[in-house]
Amino acid sequence: MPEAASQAQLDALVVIFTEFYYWLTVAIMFLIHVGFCMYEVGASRRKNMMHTLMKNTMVIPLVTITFFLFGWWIYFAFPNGPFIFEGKGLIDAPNAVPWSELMGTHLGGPSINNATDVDTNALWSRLNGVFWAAFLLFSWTAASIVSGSVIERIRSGSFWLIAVLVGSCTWIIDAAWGWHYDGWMVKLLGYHDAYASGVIHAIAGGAALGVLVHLGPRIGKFRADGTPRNIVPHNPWLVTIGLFLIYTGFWGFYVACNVPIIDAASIGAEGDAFTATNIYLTPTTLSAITFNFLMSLTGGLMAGYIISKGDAFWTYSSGLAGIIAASAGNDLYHPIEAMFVAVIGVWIAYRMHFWVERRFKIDDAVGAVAVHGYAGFAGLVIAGFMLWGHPSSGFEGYAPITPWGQLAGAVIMFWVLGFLPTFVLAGILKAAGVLRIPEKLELAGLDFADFHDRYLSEEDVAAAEYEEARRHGVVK
Amino acid sequence: MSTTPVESWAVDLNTLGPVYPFVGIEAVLVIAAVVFWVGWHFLQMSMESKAYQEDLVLLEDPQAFERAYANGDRRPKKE
Repeated sequence: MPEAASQAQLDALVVIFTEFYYWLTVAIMFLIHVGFCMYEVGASRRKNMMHTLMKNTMVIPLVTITFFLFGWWIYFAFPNGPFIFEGKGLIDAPNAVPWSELMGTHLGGPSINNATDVDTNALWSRLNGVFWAAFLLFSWTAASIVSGSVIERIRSGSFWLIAVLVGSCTWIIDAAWGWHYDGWMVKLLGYHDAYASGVIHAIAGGAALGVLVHLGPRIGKFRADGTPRNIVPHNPWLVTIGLFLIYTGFWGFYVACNVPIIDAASIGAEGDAFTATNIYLTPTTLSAITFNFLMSLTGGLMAGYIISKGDAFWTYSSGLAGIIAASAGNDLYHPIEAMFVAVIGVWIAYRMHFWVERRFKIDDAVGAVAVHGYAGFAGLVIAGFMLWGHPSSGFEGYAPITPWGQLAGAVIMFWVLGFLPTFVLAGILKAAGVLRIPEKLELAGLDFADFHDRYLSEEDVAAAEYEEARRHGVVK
Repeated sequence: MSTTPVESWAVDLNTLGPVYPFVGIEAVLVIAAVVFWVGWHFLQMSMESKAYQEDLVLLEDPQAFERAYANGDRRPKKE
């Protein structure tokens, strides 16, 4: 076979394998959202469960349509940051604007009306949809994290505006800045966050906190003396199965953060090797992240069990927090290092949750700020020490990983892009009187109208049955 | 005649780019999607406010409130 032909076939196989790889991650990541829905419904009280379910379910279409319209474009257009990197502005992103021919069924040949070249078409016609969807599923996750913390008292319509802000704007800006091989945070700060301790979890935790400050606690959460009550889940079993499903979907999340196969010479290496890489195009292996996913889950579960004295809710949540804390460096850690990073992250998250709850009267219904925000923040800073001096990229001129670069990154994720935007939007919604549901309805429950109708129907049917039974002489 | 750029599959596939119907109307589709999305939020928020008002009217009936309360998992204790 001629060499050119075999090279073309190899290139085609790489593209089609990559296309299938990302498609598969999307299917697996769907389970994260199933898990979040189960978890939230289980954690809510029976009087609110159907509204809680719908609040999270509608994140799917609303973040999807907006991620199609502008979220995907933001990722490619914003890596230069707020115009501070070499004074550069927005980057042209012909594959990601919503009117691009590459945002539809495209076989890779010449464009009809767009100006995209043949090479761009050949690559993105196969990868655009699956890569978009992988990032979209991250977006759902970011918005869903906020959803859990605000259950049982936020207006759904207001939450969905916040979900669009987080899911299709702020998180994807941070991805462009710090989760892109060309992002300004990677170049200037040496920011390293391979599996999204910061770019998904810290930002979503910070965003949840920004909303909670304005939203306030659920009625009855705090006693008159300020001490918190435990508002227990109506179905702890559903909560734990939901968390199990989130663990399962997390496998898809992890592998979606990788490029599965790339010619190492194209990312600054010597020789003719092929490798998998993280999102920054620095080499890692699926084997490494499998080791580290499971060992950080282990550290999280073991630490959570001890620190919460065997509480099922916090043990499961700590498994998640453990993975989240280790995620920033899980492309590189030794598995036992990943396990101990998880232990430290869980300890910080658990302690911080109850301290913030007592000190600031923050009612985070599912501990999302702690599990995602504090664990993610801690994980970024720990990675700065653990990976100190490691090259953040294979390309020339990038800063190495440092503790101060990671700390600055954590502050940007949690506070600047997480807390601040939702704090402002929630404040506007509160001022407009549409952030929180009416107090009487909160007491009766958001599903009040459904139950009311159901009771009237049941009473009506019962009365009819009783009348029928009397007619047949079954009862007097 | 085809609504797509494809008249036959007996061609070199490398010569085919976009193959969805009505190539060229992408901008119109995007505008329609923006209107659908923004309009949905306005409609939903209006529906939600109306639903809350109706619920509050129903809640003026103490029996309805008791029913709602008893159905939740905070059933009041019987004296």
